[in-house]
Amino acid sequence: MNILCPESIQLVLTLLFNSKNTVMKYINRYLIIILLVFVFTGCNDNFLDRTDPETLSYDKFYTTEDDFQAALNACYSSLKDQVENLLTFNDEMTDNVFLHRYNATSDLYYFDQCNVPTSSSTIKDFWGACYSSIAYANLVITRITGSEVSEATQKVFTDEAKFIRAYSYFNLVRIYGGVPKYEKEITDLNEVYEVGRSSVEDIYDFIISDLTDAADIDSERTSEQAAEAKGKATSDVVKALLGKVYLQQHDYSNAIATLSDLITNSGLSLEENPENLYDADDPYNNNETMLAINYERVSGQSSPFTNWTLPKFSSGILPNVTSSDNGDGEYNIEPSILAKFSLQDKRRSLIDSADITVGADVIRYYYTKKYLDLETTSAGYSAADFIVLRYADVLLMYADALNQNDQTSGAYTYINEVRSRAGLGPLPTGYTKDQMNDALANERQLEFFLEGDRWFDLSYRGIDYLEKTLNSFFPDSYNTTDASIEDYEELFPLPADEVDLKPDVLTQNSGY
Amino acid sequence: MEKKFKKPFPPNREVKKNWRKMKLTLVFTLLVLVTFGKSYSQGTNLSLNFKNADIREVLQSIEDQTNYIFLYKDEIFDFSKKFSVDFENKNFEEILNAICRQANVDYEIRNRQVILKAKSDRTGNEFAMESKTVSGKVADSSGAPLPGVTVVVKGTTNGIITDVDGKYTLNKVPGNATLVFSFVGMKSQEITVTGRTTIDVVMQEETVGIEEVVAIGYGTESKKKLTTSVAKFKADQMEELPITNIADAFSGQISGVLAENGVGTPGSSPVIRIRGYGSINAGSEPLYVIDGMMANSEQFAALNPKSIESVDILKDAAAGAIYGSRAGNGVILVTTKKGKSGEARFSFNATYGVQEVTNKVDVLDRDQWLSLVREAYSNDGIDLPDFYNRDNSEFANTNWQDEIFRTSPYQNYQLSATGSSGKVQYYIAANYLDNEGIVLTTYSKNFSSNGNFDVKLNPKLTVGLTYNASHTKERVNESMSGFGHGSGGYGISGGIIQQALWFAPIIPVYTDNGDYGQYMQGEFANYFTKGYANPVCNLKETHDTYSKNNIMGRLYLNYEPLDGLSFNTSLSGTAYSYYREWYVSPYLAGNNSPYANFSNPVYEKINSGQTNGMTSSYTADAYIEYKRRIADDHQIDVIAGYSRQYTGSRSTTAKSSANDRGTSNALDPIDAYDNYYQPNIYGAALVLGSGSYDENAFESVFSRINYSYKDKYMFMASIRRDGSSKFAPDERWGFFPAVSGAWRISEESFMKDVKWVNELKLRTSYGVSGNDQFGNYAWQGTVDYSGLYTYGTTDSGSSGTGKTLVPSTIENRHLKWETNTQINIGTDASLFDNRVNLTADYFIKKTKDMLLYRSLPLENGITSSLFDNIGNMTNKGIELDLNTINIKSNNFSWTTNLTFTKIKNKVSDVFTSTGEIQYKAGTSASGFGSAIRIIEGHPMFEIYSYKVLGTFETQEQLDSYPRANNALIGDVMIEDYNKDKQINTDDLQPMGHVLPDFTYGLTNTFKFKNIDLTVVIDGSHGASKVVSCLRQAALMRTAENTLQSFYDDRYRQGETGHHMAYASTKATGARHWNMSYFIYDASYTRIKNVVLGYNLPERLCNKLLVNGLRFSVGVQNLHTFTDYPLYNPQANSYNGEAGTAQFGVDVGEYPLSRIYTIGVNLTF
Repeated sequence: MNILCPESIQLVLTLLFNSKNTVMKYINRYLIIILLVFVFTGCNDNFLDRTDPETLSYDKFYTTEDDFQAALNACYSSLKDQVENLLTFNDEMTDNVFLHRYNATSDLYYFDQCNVPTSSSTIKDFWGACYSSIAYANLVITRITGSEVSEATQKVFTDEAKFIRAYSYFNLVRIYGGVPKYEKEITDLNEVYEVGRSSVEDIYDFIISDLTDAADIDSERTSEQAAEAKGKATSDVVKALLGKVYLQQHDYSNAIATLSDLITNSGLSLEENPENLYDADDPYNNNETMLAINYERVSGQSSPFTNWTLPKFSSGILPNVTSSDNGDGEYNIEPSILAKFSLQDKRRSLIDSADITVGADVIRYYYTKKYLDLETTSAGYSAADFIVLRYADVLLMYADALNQNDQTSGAYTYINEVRSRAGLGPLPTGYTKDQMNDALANERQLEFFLEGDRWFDLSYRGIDYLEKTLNSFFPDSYNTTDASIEDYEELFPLPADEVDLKPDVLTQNSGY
Repeated sequence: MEKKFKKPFPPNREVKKNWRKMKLTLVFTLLVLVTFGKSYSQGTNLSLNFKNADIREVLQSIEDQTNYIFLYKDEIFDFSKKFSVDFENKNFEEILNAICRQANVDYEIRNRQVILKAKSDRTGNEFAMESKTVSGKVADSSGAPLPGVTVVVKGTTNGIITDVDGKYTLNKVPGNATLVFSFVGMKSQEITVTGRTTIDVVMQEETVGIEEVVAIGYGTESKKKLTTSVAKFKADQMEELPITNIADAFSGQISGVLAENGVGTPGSSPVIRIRGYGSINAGSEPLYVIDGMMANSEQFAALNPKSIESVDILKDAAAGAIYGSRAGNGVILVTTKKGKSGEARFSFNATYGVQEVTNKVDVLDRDQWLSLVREAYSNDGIDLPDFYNRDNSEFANTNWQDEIFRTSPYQNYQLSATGSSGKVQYYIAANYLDNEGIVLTTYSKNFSSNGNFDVKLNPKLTVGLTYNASHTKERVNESMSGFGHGSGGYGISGGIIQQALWFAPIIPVYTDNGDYGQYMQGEFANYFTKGYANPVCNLKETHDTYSKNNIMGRLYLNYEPLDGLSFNTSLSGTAYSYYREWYVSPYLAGNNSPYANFSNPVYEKINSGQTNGMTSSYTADAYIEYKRRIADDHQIDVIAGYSRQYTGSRSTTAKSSANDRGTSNALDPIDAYDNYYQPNIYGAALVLGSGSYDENAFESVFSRINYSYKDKYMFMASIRRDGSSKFAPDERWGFFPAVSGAWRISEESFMKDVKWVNELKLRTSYGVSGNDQFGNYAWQGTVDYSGLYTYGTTDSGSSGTGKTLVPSTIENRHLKWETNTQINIGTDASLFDNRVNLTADYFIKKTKDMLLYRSLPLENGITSSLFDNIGNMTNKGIELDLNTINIKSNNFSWTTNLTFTKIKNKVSDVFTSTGEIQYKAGTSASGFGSAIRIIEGHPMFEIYSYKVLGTFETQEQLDSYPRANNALIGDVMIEDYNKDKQINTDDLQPMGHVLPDFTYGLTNTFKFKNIDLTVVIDGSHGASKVVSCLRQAALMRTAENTLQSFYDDRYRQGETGHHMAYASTKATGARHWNMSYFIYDASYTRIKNVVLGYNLPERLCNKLLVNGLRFSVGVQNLHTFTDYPLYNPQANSYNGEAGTAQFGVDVGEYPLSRIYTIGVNLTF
């Protein structure tokens, strides 16, 4: 009965039935009943406020520090949806891997064939994933002001959210070019129909501003917060990304400044045994990994990478998995690329093979062990992690920045440090800038093989470099002997459904 | 308008009340005997205007306008003579002279009494005559004494009322006098004394003479003065029909109202649509108001039809607007039976019937089917397996339809009592309805009780209680319908009805060892690899029962401090709860993995569960009404009120799925089954629970004014302001206005010579109402707080695992109700001595801001679609109700009621990027595409399919014409609709629409002496349906049976002109795609109800000491004239309910039954 305004009902009942009430002596009993009619009107506060008892309304959240910590956790978690597409854009699309032929109906086929339509689901999913991370980050950034969270922590959380936002826009701008920009929570839904594409420069300015703001995050953290900062945006992580952004923009001086600061002051070092980097259970068991997206062997937090990278119909690779489809064969290593790994290269030991019987044929497929989770009982639910940033990247980026900045000789130290860890000797001296450019591209391919880097790395070196590298590879490709990359393919298409929803303001990339 | 009684006669409050009621009910045969304290004025002026009126009406009108009372004996008048008078502000005497001249009588004025006498009566008056004392006893028809009956000497003021024993004694009664006995609700009687001193009288209930009144929401209005479109359906129109649900009786009887029994399971209620479909994604369900309580369709369906007094249907928006945001699809007002004053009267009603399926579908028998199989092997070039190389007689010949359908009983009993005791009037009834389904194992049993109690606490204050309580027990089977081998609710193959069509006839119901005959088991295992379950087994071994309890109660109070002013307030509560439990027995559990059967019970796969659900609501409302006639010409009636309502629903489900049982207790099957595998979840090793909870609240203020001038020009205006919890705070309050007017042309003076027009009225209305039938929280943005994210292991310095707060739906602060605006123009006419009654309406109903899911740019980051107001739709229609009395004589009468409805629907705007919404027709199977579409500019629910041109007959055709799915010779040739030289879903073409062009009904009633016959016919024209459950039958394959018509039209080598694919052991080509041979015209004409009744003559009733006795025999769904291939052309697997807007799809629904009934109705 509380809904019916208990106070007024009680009042009326008292008046009606308490005959000792002196009021009753003077007031017609029935007048009271009529009054009952009108008291209902007097207590309508909150009667119409009903929120879903089964779910939680986000109006009720975003107040306490716990709320915002959970909201940030969601930001990091949302990066999974982004990085799970990075192998497709970077490795499937290039000379690293091919798609198992029994998976030809999959959307990945378009990438394997280097012929991505605007209707591709990967194109749409990645777009949505990046904007989800941005929306979650914007919710934190917009709503934390004025919340119960202490001002110091507000700053830390805001900086973390800005890192997430910057990383997401960086992915968007590298894949699609200039994209619609949202700097805060969307409160009027009409806005999403009206906002058009920003320029590439605009997006980069926004990314750099976010990362610059967040770069001093370590100094804002309390010692308690600092002790638990692994896996989150730290100053090192933010700076490494900032260096990557500068490099991508060909702003070499800023790249050099940012990255040399890291190399000098971060205390990071290369892990001696590359295999240790890919421990499914503990991504931070080394001093090299800076940020990894961590997966667990439980429903809701599990990793798809083990299943995706193992050959289709393979069995016995995962000892605890009984079924004969350990893998889905989405990222089978191109046999022709194997020759690039010299025999003494430690990184070659991260590649293994499986012989699969298909009909009358036995076919040998090569796969990466970077995403192997030997303890999983189901290939689709592994703990294999995805490394976003590690120190080797910092070293190679720095070498690249120096080389591009006409300091080719200065690059040797850093590329050789990475080669040395792989068990390889130093590069021959006296490389020209172009030779060093090739060497760096090659080194990055071997180092970040199937880590979602290849396409970005090639396109950074220019469309000509991208076309030259890939178009010369295609004749040797396992699946794609007659593919080619053309100029317009420097950028991927915008999702057709999204363009259809706002055709006036969302213009498709040229060529699509 | 009532007169003021300053000094009542007789001086008794109780009688005064009755007197007033008599006036109200216009019992004219009684003299009005009142003394007035006020002096009269000889110079009174008044106006009178009558045409073809009874003299009594004229006199009544004068009494109403003046302080004069007329005293007269009936015999002085010739009542067959009609009066027409027209006086405008004339002197009283002048008028009196004129009237008396016309009536051929004399008059004498004594004080305020005007004594009318026959002209020939020169003997003076009877008052002076010798007289004596008369006494006696008055009883009602049951023989019980009737207190409070007024007894007067006709033509005098001499009268008295009967005492508690029904006795009276009247002095000074002239020997030739006539005594008039009258009592509210009873027929007045006049008895001549002729010298007697003792006169006992039995009063009979009054049934006629009351002007028809319709409920309009928070009050009533006389039908004559109605300005809006309201249809009334009275109890006597359905009392005899063998119906289980009140809505069954509507079919064809009310124009503009569609009551389709799309799913005929016992206990199911028809889908009611008023003036077509008002919405696509929100519901199109009308608002139900039962005795003033807002109710849902479940509660409406739970009412026993025999408890219902009348149903009023508010069709246009102006009528519904008083119910605001919920009236967009019309309003159904149900009034249950109320108490009548007098001694207790009992009524007993019994209907018993047997029912059977209306028709069976013609499928192949064993011999035909075996010939198809042998042909298939031959066509495919495969040697006929030895299994089939036997004589036909060695196989079973099962007609599966015969096995699952049965003849079953139907019973409905009601006992009711009504009467009054002291200040209490009551009606109570108990009902029992037992409906065994025509499909094996199904039933619905309903026990209910309802009652009404009115207590007149004092002359100004009445309180009352209405309640309705019912308990329903039902067994249905969730896998009754469904597509193909899709899963039913229990993990068992669904679609029992359709599987009975295609389950191979050579499979026996039971094999020799007593097991169920099953595909994939025993000798059939190698030849039938499809996982269908034996339909008989499926029905018997899936147990699914519902126990439903429904209680509705309303307490109300009416206070009339002054004449014409009343306060009404009520508090009502409803509680609907259900308990469902289901389990699949070990003889079916798991269906085919492993193969369960009697010889191999599979305990560990028993699938069971139970759900407890409850919906409760309460409504508090109050309104003030002020009714007054001012200066005789102006009648006003104003109400203003307030209402608030809360509804909350919760449910809890606990279930254990296959494999959750564990096998530990399966050692001794019988023992284990009895003790452990009970039809509940208790034996399960793992039980999963889930729950739901939602609520909504409404708050409203409303007001209405009715005004009429000279009862000739009527005007109505109403507003309602509705607040609903379903909407964002800024859009929470809606405003729903309505205006309407009517002109009774027949009351105009220029019409008075048009003798054949008794009543002619023009009405027009405009109103706005709303539709809020969708989720309670659609506008709200929600978060998902259930996920986890792990940063890494804590030893490496990460913070470990934390909860994630993910926004999961986006807030839509603009979400508001769908708005319905409706213009209505109508006329009501009674012609030729009221023998022809016509009601005709034209309406334009526009639905604005239709609620649909709109695709949202993913840039919002949270959701890909949003429930939003993004469509517009128009329904234009005409409705005709023609009621004629064809023959009316003393012994024989024949009346006809014809209804006709034509509605044109157009979806004017769909603001999605494509302007289209597509629905799968019950299957997402490859090649089926989207068969049901909503396209901007078209009527909603258009049907799309591939057009079958025939079959590929030559290699040349195969090479030259595009073919689908690698079709071979003998496979189906599909029209390349878009001429792009390939066949894909772009070649689906429009093949009709789901909504009918028009619907109609025809009811004929014949009465000969005590025998009556009613025949109800209804029909629908122009609708099509996708009979998607024939998909399996079209495969022409060795795994399924097929229709005779498909079989006859199959491709055979060397023949031409066929449309079905060749027989094969496998399904080649596109034969099972969304083909035109699944689209059927669903037009029908049906003999819906035939009832023959016999009323025992009064004379015999009296001998038997009963009040009335009636016998009847009836048939429901006697015959349907249609080309529809299955059981029910009205079948609708999705009903077009909210959220699942698919419509016009038949996936094999529970058939309609033909019911033969006999009934007895006894009152005593």
